Amino acid sequence: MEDILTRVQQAFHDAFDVDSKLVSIDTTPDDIPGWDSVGHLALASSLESVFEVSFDVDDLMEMENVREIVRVVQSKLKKA
Amino acid sequence: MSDSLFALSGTMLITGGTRGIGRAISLRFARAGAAVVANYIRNEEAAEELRSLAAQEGLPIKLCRADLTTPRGLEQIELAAKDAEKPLSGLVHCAATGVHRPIAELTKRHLEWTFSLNVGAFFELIKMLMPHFSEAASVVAVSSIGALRALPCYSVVGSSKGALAALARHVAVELAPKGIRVNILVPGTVRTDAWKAIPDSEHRLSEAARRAPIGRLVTPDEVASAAQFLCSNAASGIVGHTLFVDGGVGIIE
Repeated sequence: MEDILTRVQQAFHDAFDVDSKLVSIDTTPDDIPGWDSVGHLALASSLESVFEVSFDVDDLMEMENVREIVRVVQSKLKKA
Repeated sequence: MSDSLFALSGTMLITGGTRGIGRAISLRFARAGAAVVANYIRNEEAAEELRSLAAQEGLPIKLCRADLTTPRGLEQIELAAKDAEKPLSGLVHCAATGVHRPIAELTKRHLEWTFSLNVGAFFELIKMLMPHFSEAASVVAVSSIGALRALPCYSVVGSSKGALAALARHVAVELAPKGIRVNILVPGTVRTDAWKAIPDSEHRLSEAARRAPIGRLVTPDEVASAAQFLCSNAASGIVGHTLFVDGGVGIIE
């Protein structure tokens, strides 16, 4: 999971230009400036690039915080 | 607009009602006499700021955190409408999202994600709220100039707004016999936080202000005033109309 979190941090940096160290497993949208409805799509695109997976609309809706993002990504990687 | 012709009543649901144009609409509608349910999903800070301002002014604004693209979120909205002290008198669909990239960098998923909120949520809300609307209820779909004109990096958002406007027109015809008026609002270029996600934003905002016949950008409150008009008795004969609030940009070459 640590490797996944590290890559999620990279995706956050790419999407929001934030210091990846500010992103932890407990991070929520309230903690990241720009993580609104538009930012969420930018983040999803960034995660797709970093992990080389594809998210559908249902996946996006589940990714409410970093913990859920890690879970969804893990699930995608298992199916790949 | 304090004249009773423009006064509002009942409960108005404003999606995306805690930021930008939606926030201005929430405040305007509450000041005009409506009880407001302001929906949001992610920015808790903005929601709390609106809650605090409403408390300071004694405005009847309640917040409803709900994801409009999920069944659970729609249930939360329906519950908020049912639990409201005043009958549901209208909906303003202001919530929107999008991916701002050139077409070469876009995927079908970007299109689906964007349409899910911008169009799909409106569709679901109308179907869900129809039985709950009071007599003479009013619905406003907030579209965009991007629905009619090609803007840089705006193809998925612009096309979703075009679809939203077309859907609103069809719904307008079907709901008018039931006493529910549906109209479309097209803001011109308005400076809001949404521009932070758009490439070359400062240059584009500056250029839009320069081009506008009024010599400046339209403000969120000016858009909110137009929304109030559409939802008031002053617009009782207006159905399926597209109202531009763009400072005259739409009529120049």
